[in-house]
Amino acid sequence: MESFERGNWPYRQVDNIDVPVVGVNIIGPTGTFPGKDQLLVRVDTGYDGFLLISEELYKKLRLRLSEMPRDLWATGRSVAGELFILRRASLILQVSKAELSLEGYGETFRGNEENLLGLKFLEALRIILDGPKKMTRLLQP
Amino acid sequence: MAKIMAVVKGFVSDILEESFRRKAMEKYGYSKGAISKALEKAIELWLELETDETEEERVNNEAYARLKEEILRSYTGKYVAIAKGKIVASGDSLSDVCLTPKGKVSHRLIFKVGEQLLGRVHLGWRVSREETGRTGK
Repeated sequence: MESFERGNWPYRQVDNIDVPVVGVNIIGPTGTFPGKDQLLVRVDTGYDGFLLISEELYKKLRLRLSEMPRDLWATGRSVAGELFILRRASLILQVSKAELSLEGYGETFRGNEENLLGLKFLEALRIILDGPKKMTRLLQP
Repeated sequence: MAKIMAVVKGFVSDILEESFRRKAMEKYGYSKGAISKALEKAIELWLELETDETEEERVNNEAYARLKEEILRSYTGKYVAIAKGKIVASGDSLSDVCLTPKGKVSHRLIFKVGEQLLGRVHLGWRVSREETGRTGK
């Protein structure tokens, strides 16, 4: 497996559980975040979209400067059946280990504290979730 | 503490009323409280949509609605930026249009014309709402 691997990210502990993450940089209307390091974002195959970001980060990145028209916003549904209006903004996600730059969108809703990478994002990557080693492994395209 | 309930009266079209009742029953069961639960949820969502809108955002979205046909005709496949109620940039890639705005701008629309996006999104197991106030501007 190693020879096909381009990089990896160790799982991260969230609420005493090790979760798979991918390191990304977000390019928005006011620059790149984070500046030097990567933002480790949890991978969640239960989320259909591209990037769900916390309300706080949405504000910090000033994504109202690259927001989509309200016609293009979505309705989000939690597993509990709660409905949310998702604000959406255009952004670029860079995965430097994969030398990949993806045009996509970030979405949030009032009260959201989660950052998640979803199925739309995963369409662009070949990754293995190596459970025993607690590692997200990035494979050659 | 028990919630104090209020009565809301108004008129809607009979088609809308029928669809609303049907959906409310499907969702909350054939009980007396189903319509009230659904109405409360509908009002909450509407308030959430309306109360966060800034003046610049309203102007930009109105411009989008007004220019939508023209944008579709002339810019399909391209990125377009709308600020202060008019198209201010277009380009083949997001980085062509998503630059730091000059001057005092607090809201802009930037989107790829004709792109098909998910209208309904499953948010997964992690997501629930934290109780907070309204979204800041």
